[in-house]
Amino acid sequence: MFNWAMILTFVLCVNATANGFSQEGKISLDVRGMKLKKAFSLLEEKGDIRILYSEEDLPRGHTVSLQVKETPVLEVLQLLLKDTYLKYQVLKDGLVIIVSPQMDIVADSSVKGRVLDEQGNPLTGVNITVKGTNRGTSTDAAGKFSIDVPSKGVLVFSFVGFTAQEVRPGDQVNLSIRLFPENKILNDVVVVGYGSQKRKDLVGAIGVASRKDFGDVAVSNTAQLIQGKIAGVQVLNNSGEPGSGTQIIVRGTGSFTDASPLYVIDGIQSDVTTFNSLSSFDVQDITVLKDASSVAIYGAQGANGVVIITTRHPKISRPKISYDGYAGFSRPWRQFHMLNAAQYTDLVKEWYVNYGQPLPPRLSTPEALITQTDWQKEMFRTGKITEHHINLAGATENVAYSFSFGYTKQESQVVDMSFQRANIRINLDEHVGKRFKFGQQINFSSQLQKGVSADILNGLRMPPYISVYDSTNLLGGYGIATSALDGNDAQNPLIQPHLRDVKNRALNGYLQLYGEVDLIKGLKFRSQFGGTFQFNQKYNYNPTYAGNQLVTQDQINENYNYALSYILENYFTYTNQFGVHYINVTAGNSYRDGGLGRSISLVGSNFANDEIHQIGVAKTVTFGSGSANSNARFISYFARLNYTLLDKYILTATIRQDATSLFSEANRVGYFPSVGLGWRLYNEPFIRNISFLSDLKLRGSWGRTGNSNIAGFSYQSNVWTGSGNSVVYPLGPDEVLINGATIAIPSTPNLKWETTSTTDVGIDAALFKNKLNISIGYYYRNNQNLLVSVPLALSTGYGGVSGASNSQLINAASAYNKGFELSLGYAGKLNDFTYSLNVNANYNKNSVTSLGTQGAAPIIGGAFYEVPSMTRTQPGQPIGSFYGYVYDHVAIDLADIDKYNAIARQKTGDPNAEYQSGLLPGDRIFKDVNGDGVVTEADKKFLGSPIPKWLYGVNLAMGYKNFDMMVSLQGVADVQLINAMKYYLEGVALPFNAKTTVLKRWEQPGDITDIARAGQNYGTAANLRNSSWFVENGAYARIRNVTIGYTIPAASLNALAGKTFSSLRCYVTAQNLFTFTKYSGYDPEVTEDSRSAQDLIFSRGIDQGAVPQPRTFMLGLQVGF
Amino acid sequence: MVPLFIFFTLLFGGCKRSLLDVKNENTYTDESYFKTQVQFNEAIVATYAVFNHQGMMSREWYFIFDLLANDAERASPLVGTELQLTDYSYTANNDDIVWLWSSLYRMIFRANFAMHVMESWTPKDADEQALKKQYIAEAHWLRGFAYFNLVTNWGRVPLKMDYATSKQNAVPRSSVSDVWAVVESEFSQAIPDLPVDYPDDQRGRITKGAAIAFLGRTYLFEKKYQQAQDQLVQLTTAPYHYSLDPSYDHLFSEDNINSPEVVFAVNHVYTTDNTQYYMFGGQEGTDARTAHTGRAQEYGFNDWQNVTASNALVTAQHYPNPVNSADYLDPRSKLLYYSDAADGGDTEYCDACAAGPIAYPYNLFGDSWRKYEPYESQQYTSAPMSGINTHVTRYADVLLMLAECYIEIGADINSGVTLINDVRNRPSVMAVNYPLTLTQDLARAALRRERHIELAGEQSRWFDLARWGISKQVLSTEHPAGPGQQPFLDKHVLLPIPTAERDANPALASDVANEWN
Repeated sequence: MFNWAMILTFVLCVNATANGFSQEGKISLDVRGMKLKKAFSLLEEKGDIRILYSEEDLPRGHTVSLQVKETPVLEVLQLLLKDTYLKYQVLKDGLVIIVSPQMDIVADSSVKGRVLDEQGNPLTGVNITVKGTNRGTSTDAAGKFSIDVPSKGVLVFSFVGFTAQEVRPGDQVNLSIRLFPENKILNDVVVVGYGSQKRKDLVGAIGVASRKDFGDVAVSNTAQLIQGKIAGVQVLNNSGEPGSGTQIIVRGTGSFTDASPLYVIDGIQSDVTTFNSLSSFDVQDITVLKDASSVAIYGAQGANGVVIITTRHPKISRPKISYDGYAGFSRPWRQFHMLNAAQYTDLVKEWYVNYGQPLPPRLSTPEALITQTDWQKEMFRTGKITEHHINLAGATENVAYSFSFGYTKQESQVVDMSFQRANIRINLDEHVGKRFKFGQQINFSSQLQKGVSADILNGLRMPPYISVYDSTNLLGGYGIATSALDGNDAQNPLIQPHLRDVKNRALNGYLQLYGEVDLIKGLKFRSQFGGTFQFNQKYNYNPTYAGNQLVTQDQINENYNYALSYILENYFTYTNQFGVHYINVTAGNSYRDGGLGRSISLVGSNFANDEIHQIGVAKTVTFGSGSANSNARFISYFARLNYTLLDKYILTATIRQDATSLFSEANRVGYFPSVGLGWRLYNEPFIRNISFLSDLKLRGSWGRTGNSNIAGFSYQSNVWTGSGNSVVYPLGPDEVLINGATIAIPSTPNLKWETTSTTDVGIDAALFKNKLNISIGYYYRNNQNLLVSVPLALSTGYGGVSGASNSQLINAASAYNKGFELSLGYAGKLNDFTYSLNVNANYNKNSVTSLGTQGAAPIIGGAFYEVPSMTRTQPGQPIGSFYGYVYDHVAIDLADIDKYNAIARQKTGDPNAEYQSGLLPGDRIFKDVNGDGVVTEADKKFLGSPIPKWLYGVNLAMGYKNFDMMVSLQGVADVQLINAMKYYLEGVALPFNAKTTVLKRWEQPGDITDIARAGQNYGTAANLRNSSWFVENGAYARIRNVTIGYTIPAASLNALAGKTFSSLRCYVTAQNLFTFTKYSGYDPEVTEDSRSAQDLIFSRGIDQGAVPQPRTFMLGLQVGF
Repeated sequence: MVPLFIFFTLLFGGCKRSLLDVKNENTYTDESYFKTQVQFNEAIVATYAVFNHQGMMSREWYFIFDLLANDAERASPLVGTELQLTDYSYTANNDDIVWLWSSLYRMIFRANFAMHVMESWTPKDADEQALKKQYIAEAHWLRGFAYFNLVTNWGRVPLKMDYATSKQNAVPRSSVSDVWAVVESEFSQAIPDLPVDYPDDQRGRITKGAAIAFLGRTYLFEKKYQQAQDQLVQLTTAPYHYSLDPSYDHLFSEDNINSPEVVFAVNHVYTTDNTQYYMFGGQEGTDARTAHTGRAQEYGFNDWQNVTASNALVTAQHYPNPVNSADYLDPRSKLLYYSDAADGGDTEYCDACAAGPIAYPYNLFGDSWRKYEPYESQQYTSAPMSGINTHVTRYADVLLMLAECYIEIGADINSGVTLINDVRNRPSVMAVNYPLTLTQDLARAALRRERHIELAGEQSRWFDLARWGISKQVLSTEHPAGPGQQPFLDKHVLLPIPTAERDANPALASDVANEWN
């Protein structure tokens, strides 16, 4: 709906000048059947007046006929309006406004006032205009102004560097206006590969989250800063254990080997380990490059997106010290209801009866009825977490410096693990002379992960009548269940946390150096170096203990490795504006070297006693494994052209050539081009004048990127001698182990780059003075020649031994990810109340399009416990889709089974046909999907996908006076999970403890339930076969973070503590406060700890009892000195 | 501008492509490694190493065949994969069976690979020439052994006769007769180039005798009795010097590598005491420079007691006296299992322990395995690490196979019965002899009983019952289905083709009926 003011603007813009009209002229007119609009313009032309009107107000289809001679112009106007309800009014400066009766225009009034900045200082030279006119003035040295305004008029205050403000004075005659620094979203500089661009010139899909978006919140892991904040970016926590790191997935899974993106820190390529070792307080913003035109400059490393981290760099200021810290605790957010001892014993007895096995002795004793231990209670605890971070920073004209130190300690909510990290970061930037700029950054972190977590699934399966400690167990002193006595060989989950002495240390450091020189005007050369140092030492000692029926002997494992790698890059940047042509060219080269590395692991055993936990005192020490160097190298050349015409038409083109040692000589080189186009519609005159628009841009891009996240030397046929030369066979009377050598891992000589072609279109708009930002995008990522670790036929004879997998890495498949992304942001203000709401959503469809060369056999994976493979990757389905039988119901009685068998016999014509082999009352009946009367493999079907179709985030930030609040919600939808723990906790296949839901199990004919009988024949009837019974809706919405803060006003602060502090804010944060989900496991955010990147792809979403995400509460403090 | 250009060129021309020729310093390639006799030997040793892989003699082999053939029976601690074997409820995903299949094919792969790398071996001298022939013969035998077990357990299976085919995923199944022809050919090719004896430090490798025994066994399984007899009879004369071990217990002790009865056994040894998880899949991994077996602990009554000696085995010890038809208890019952006096087993253990014999607590354990257990010299095994070698074929087995040939041919039943009696006359056994006048039927029955008792717990019965075509008849009688349990069905004569094989081998996928075989 066009409003009045808008029309005014429009008309005024077309009729460029309007000032000092008289209305005294006389004119002659002769019109017949003319539209009012045309008549007005005739009048304007002849009478030298300006008439303002809203076209909407003019009666539709109305025409006028009039003949007058030398008549005063206003009289003519009166005659023209005669048959309408319209009136006219003359303004002070001679403008004539056509008004409809609804409008009530009164004369101008004079308004005066003062314009101040946010600190209350007067602003001089602020432009003040009456909206829709060119009437204007500006403020004087004291920030004062005075202007005449029509009563419904609107004043616009604008000043360079500040956000323009519109005020309707109404009845006020004395205004006090505050202008705030401009929200520079559009002129913001966005970090891109090898440089930066103004946001307005971007043609790619780039998501940025900065400190403002993070909120002043506490997170235990840096990647959590962007969880749910950027459309199309998913942050998967590796585990609920502290220090376990995260995986970022950009726009769905587009690779079969490794979907992790490239990490770039302050412009220099890095890796996920370094990223995870950063302190979140050192991060200024995180930019995610999603489309090909943005990532193609990283070529072979870009296919899974690029995550660019910018650390905090000081701006010009006096030295400042700031302290950030929090302390809090974490708890599990959900617990299961488990059977007590009596219920458990009852269940196990039934199991043994049903299975026809003799009952193990302990179960018939009275002690088996007494609950001794709530294993969940023993395994979970309240974990304390704390972090301290101090930063000293400042900058002068020539030097900027920042020094920070951080320390965090986090205890796991599961006994008995803790994580500590200390970080030191030094950051320097110097301008030397007029042309040179240098920078140095050193980051050093030391991490210690101590202890091990209780094995949750083991604990859940323990008999409740076993106590935690048992002094009669001379080997370790823990209560144990054994298969001989209890028929249950779950291990007491507390033994390992308590007895094992585990310390994993990591020292990570990186050094970044750069030098920049301005060669000639617009031409800059930059050389940068990034070196990474990692040292890990793992140490694991256990004394001799009996955990179930397997006695674990005392043993120590020590593992040492270091890795030094570096990258050296040089590039030129040329920027210039030639009239309407803006050009920015970047070109350079890059050399990345996996560098040096060595690792060794040793195993020690045979300790005299438990006093010393050190390999030096072990009587037997054997070599475990060792490796050295031979890491990947890359040589790359790249170039990018940005061209902008008239600030409207944008072209970005990039090309990169990558060559790597990962492939054989013939397949080393890959070329990765991209092109992007943008059209800034906002700068077109016909759009420019739509007043509610602040910006509008259409963008599109196409490009090709690669992925080289593979292990080296896969193209070579490598000799296998086992780990530590353990391919052996004993010969001779003393049976001496003789070494053997063979091949265990298949090679693929023709491995080559996998490529991803991405097409991307989008529209970015800012509305209402940038208050509302909208970005909508569509993408299509086509992944070809995907590197796939394809399971091999067992009959090939590969793998099958520890450390050698029975699969082969080949370029075997193609897949696509396509979808939409939407981001909406709105920032507003109501007096002292400020708020911003950001919503993002991503719909992604993943599908395999071909499985190339391996006979197009589907890739089968995702087996768990005794359940055979439950994922299937084949054309037309998402990668790693769940696949299996469809569960129907638990057979009620024999009559129920007979009914099905009758159908089977009728349909097959075989009088002995069975609907489902081995089916007994109380077993699960599966659906005959293909309708042939019997349940066979052919009845398996796709049961869902672990790749969420929808990702969304909602972030709300609010401020009122000195209070601030931030709420972040993140969720996924249209996703399935496999609740593998049901196998044990509700499957009752084996005599383990279970959830109380099994109290409703099938016990006698007539029982109608979804829990099958105890002691079912799990082999043949296969109640626990791969079926939809395990598949659950994995959608969730999680309140990630709620933070409420209070900033102590400067006045009170000074009153309280003199001038010691410059700022003081305290806050409370709750992480994972609420989770809305139908999933029945511990946590719908199924984590993938200790599994490889490939497992993440083919066994994604299979919940096998990993440590769930904790609910955490923290109290934090931010102090500035 | 010129200096700038030079600067630019230097900078951008700096990276040489040769930097990308990164050398793999962590492993050799097959081309850079297999150059001399030492490495060719390693290729063969790696093939032997498969004997201790999963599915094989370090663990699953004894569970699979003892449980399937009802030599061993489940005890209540037995859960999981092995439990399915006890009542024929296993599916095509049973890990034990999947591992068996995989390891047999891994043995084939490694043999193929060894033969492949030896193609480029030009021996330096006559000694090397002989070694090359020996290694190739060993590879043939190992491949023959794998196909023997594949064809007997699965029937039609894919044939992979060279390195290139080995690597292929899609290979269809060959007919049973084609696989048998390969087995015959493999053992036949092995015989000429294998030595009768090895130098002492090489003892445990496949001998000419082992090749003859297996060729004979192959013919026997194919019911080519005369050809079988022609092979097996060779082993009873020089240059072969096999003899029955006077002590049955010695045959199943840590020292059994020194028994004169060994024709071929899988060697086991434990080298360190921190690798107990090795047999659960740690082979060739970080904790696995060892070659032990877990049988002593897994079967042992004072340890994990996963299984007992089956009722059928105990019952079989009681039979009519061959001479006077009175009740007779085979003397081997006391060597096979512990039990109460009534069941005929050994009623005491720890005879050789320092503290002296301990009464066997029958009430707690029932009939438990004594064979392959160290309980006469120690109270517990304390760790699942036994070094007692697993017999694959021994001289008693050869004699009984030969006896079977005589009996089945029918012309000289007398010789057959004599051979049975030879086995019964082992000094530590001394069972009553059968009269030489037995009819063919009675001789056959005596032979079958003799194999059941003499080779109990040696993974022989499963193959014997299948060969005699009486698996279902015997096993469903001995082992009727219990509550919720399944009986032995016709399909159980063959093992199921692993699902994972079907999933990745499209040439075989459609050739499997009823998700089984």
